[in-house]
Amino acid sequence: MNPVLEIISLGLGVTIQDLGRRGWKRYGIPPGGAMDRHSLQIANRLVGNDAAAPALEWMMHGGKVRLLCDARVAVAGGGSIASKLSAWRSEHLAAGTIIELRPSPFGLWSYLAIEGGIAEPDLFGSASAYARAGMGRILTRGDVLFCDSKVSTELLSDWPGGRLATWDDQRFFGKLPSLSLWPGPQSHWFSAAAWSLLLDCEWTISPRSDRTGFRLAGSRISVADREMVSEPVLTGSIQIPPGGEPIVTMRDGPTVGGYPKIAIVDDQSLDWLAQAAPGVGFRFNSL
Amino acid sequence: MPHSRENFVFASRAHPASFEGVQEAIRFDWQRYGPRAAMIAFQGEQAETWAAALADKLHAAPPHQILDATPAFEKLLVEYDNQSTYERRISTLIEWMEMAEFSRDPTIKSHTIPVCYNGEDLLSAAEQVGMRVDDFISLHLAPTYRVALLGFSPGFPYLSGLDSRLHIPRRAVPRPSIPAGAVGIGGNLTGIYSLPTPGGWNLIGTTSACLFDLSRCPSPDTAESAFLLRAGDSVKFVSL
Repeated sequence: MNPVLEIISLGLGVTIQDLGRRGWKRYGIPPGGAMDRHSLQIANRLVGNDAAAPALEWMMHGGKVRLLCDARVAVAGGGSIASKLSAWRSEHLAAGTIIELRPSPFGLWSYLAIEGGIAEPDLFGSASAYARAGMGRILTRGDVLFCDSKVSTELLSDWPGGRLATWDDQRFFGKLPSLSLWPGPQSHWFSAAAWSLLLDCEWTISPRSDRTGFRLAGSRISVADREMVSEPVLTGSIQIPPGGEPIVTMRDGPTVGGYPKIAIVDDQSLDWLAQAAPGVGFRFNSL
Repeated sequence: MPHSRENFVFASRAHPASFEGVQEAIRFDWQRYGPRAAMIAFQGEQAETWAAALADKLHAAPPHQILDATPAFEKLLVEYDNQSTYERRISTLIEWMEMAEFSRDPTIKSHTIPVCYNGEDLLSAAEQVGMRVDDFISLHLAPTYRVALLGFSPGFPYLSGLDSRLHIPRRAVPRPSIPAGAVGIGGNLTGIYSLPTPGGWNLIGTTSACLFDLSRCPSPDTAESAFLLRAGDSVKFVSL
């Protein structure tokens, strides 16, 4: 294993993320993984990695790393703009290069992938950090990350100038497309008016949002006060607590819940929602 | 209208399946939940056992390209990789469930968990239900509980079977931090905090039993041993 990256500045928060855990919900372990799976996968493909390889996920405002070897690197996602690199494009950079991710008002999560992937032991089938249960390492300033020789890399020597993501794969998060909803298991508990409100309102993300859940600001949705037994919850579900402030369960969210779920955000739309910076409005549509 | 029932696929089934050697009807409804999952709700006295047993069966030998199967009380959430797998596979799963020969998984365990009844809320909880503390403790010790689900945090069991006289609503204001091993009552359930987390249950005792311990699973093959309990297991408390 070769040292490839050194963390110089953490910014608001950086973790190692891949596509998360599957098959452990029955023990209470959430799927976790990259908040925006699309951007993680694109960043990995740009450097020739398996799309599911572990990479660095930076929360808005970015941070700073130093390359410890010559390597192909790519940044995708939002919330920050990298120096030395164009977004959605890989470059071959020399050892010693410092990559700084500077704040951008659009998007929340950016992914820095390096060819070979980041070596981090799997726990329950994933290298993703899940701090609440002590999974994954907590990165600090000065930490050195290693390359994972297990991750298969394509030979990219015939691509000296790096690779650019296709136009369709590049995303700009200053404006979100309409996000698609499926009915949730308790959608019949809600009135037609409540459903219309969900679809007609322009929503934003409340600042009280994190990797476990996004709270939606824009309106309050009323729900009949009914006894509910806790049941399994899928990532992307829109739960309505008694106060009426919708909460979207995100990647690290609880595996069970006792609030009625009016709807669930479609998988593709959830990657967009994950990048909704506070202040960026979005709407839902019904599939 | 997405909230009308037309957008759901509901099916009600009744089929004799063998359970612990006894032929009994398995009854369930199911409902699509998003693009690639179904929520299955079992009915009848054995509903919780069916949900846990089916989850075990799907995990032991996944026959249907299932991503995950999560039991909770009488429900079972079955997830596929994506929408197209779901749409190709779900009817086969339902047919398979109708035909399935269920048997109690031999690996389901009975646990004895020692409790020291010293919780911060023990006195107020006993007062709230108008009971002497000794009687309160006896009633909590009496049942054999069933792990209805693990959730809230990894390894945290929701134990069903709590005596109805001990049902106490969750605290209006949750505590910001509760130590691992705290035994609590929340509504009609009792449970054990598996990690230091915030929480709203009434704390009645503590246990030295370790419900979630990453050091117990040094290799991926032994990952399950990080957890003391599993959905469907039974738990008996003994007083220290």
